[in-house]
Amino acid sequence: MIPFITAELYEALEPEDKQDIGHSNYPKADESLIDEEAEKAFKHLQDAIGAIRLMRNEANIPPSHNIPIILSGEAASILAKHGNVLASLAKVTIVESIKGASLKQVVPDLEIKAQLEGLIDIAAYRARQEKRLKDLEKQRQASQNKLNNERFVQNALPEIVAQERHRLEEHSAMIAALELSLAQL
Amino acid sequence: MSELAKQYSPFDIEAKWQQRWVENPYRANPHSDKPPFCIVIPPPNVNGSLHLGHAFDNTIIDTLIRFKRMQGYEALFQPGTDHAGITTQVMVERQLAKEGLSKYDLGREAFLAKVWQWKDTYGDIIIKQLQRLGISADWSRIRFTMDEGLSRAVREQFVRLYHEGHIYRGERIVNWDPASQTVLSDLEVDREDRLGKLYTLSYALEDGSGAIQIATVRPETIFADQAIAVHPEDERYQALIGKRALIPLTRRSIPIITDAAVEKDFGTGALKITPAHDPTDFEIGERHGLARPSVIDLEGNLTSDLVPEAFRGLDRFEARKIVTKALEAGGHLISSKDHTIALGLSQRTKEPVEPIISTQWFYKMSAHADLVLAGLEKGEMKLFPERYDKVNKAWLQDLRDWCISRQLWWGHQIPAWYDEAGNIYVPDPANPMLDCPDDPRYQHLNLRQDPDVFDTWFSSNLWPFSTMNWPDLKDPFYQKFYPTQVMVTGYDILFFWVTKMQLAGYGLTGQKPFSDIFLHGLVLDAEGQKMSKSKGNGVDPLEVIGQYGADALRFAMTYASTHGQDIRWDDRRVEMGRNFNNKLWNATRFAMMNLEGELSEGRPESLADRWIMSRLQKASFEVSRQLENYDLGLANRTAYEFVWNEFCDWYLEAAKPELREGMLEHAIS
Repeated sequence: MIPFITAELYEALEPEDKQDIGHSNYPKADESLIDEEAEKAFKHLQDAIGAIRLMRNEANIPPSHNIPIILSGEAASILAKHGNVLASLAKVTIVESIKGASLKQVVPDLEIKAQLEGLIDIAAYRARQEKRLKDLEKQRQASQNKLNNERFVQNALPEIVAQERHRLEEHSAMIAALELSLAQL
Repeated sequence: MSELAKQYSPFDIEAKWQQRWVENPYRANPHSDKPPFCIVIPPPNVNGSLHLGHAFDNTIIDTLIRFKRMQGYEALFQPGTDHAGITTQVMVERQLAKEGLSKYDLGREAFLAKVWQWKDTYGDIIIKQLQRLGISADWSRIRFTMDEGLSRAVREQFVRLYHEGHIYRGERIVNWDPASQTVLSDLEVDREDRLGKLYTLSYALEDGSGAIQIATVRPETIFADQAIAVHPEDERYQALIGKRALIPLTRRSIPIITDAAVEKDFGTGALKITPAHDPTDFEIGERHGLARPSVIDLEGNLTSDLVPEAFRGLDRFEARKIVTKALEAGGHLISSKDHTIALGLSQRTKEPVEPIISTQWFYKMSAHADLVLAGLEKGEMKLFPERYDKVNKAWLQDLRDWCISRQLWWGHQIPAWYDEAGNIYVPDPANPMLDCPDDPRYQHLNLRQDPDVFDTWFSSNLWPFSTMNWPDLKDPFYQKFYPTQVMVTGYDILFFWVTKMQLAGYGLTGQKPFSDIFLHGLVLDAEGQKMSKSKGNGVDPLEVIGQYGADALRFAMTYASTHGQDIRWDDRRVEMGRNFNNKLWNATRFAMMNLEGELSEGRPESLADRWIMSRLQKASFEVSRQLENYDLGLANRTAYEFVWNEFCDWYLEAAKPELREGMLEHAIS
């Protein structure tokens, strides 16, 4: 598909081959190198890293701060073996126990608890999240009021009504998640 | 390992490799033991400039060719160009016109010398542009539809088919361009919707018992009418069938006949049949044995004794107005209403084409249709996407005789001669290259060669085997590479080209010309409109290459290649390609900087290594499978995902701690 760049890269990688890439052998899949176990483990690693990045965003933890985490669940032992990769990609340290406020994320076969204490100003974080919760509740109430209004439901375009219902559901879900994370703090 | 430049610079790299591949092309060896894999290029017009359609064809072909070559096949990407009869001739004629000359001022021989001269000067521009695209064609084997070998193949075809009775001279209705005085192929005629009128005319019955009303868009041709036709099951007209009606403004009467081709719902359901001036009428006339008098001459003026004197000599469009007025004055015009007509225009001169009866050379394509259909039925040839199989068969079941003669100078002059009595002489099949005037048997005759040339498709239809030196069946290239493996082209020329190659393949070589037929879509502009020069919405691939590099364009073309769908042009795909190439470059450079010495052959141990090697096997397997299925778009995505997402975003990141610890023993092969 892209013969020029591949020819150049191949030449740099295989300077002994006097023929260009076009005359080399097409890579043949080696089935013995297919390693479902490694793929599964790496998938857990990817999930965990995704979840940790999400928490980092949520709590606004700067990328330079190392987060102590506890892993539990079926995949915990697999990940523990590859702590160095996890540490490098997600800037975390796997620990036995954590103290104070924490955040939790669940991904398949794995629960991750991240310590917040000492990393961020918990009081300020809580205040920020509580304000967000209030705003969300206000918005949810507004949607609810609209939908309780029979005239709106009857007269508005069906897609507008559907949109409002969707908004209500979304806000409700966000509120539930926020309440849960506040409870964990 | 050697050093890679810090920055990916497509222009430096591409210039270097392009030069190497041109100086030392991927030559195909007809004597090798490897299995053959051959694709012939859809020959671009020799006067052409690279457009996105070419870039699409050739990127797909080259991807397949390189894939198979690397898999161990003896791969031949056969390059070449088409002489493009009318287009090239018109181009040179235009050049002459600037000097105030016409081809007639020069005469045939001098004019042709001029065209050849032009071809020698500019003919390899398109080849250079294809080379810029990086295709791995065997440049030592460039063929041209008018080179010596291919001209020989064309003559062999004509002589053989003529003596087998599949080529004949006959009257047919053809597209005539009164401006260029040339017969045009359907391909050279643009259909354009124009607002015209549908006139309802009243023809009095000869026996005085009433009248019949007919609908027509061309009242000026009524003088050439031979019948009025109605549908056999149209109850309205049952009582009139067999009676005769008088052509208005004349004293001539014509029969009222039935034909199933008449649409009951069009107009009044009764049609005037004018065989000389309408292709459908010509066919209906043929079925009923009607005469074919013409009332329009080659200049487009009304002529013939059939035309009342007042209208003779009038230009066809002027005549329409004047005849309509006369019909109205005579009470024959019942009504006229607006009606959209798909008017045929000469692509070159923009003049409305005039259907005329003319003596032309015809090839009965249906003669070999059964062989091709059987080949498709047996699975000797397969179409990708499969849905085109039906279309291909439908074309083959409904083949009209193909008018293969053209009133041009540039092309293969028809190897047929006439004596003074008009008898036809065609070379002997045993010695097809011997011109009839040189044949000792005809020395006593004063022979004159047919001045016309063959339709361009009458040579490009041989392309898969004429490029392999057919009819020399012992030629090593013919033996090794014919039949070819794949034909890659746009679905829009399934009939014009692919079907004709199938017929020629089975009819002349007794074999399929190719096994797989991969039809791709058209490249449209961002709004989904066909790109055209006149609309100015075309994208010039050379500009794209100049901005992003050929690899980026090729990335975009393969990315967009999905199941024969039309594709809308989007610059972002090219940008995506350039970004991908950048990423690939930087990742390779990063890996090389971190690898010491040789690449290790051992088994991967760390999780990241085991994972990426496992993913690599799967990606490699998938890409192969997708390329085998002509899913180039999917293959592109698989490779893209693997390189960008898995290798760069995850593997290299995951490998960094190990690299830092000096632990990476296994690298990426």
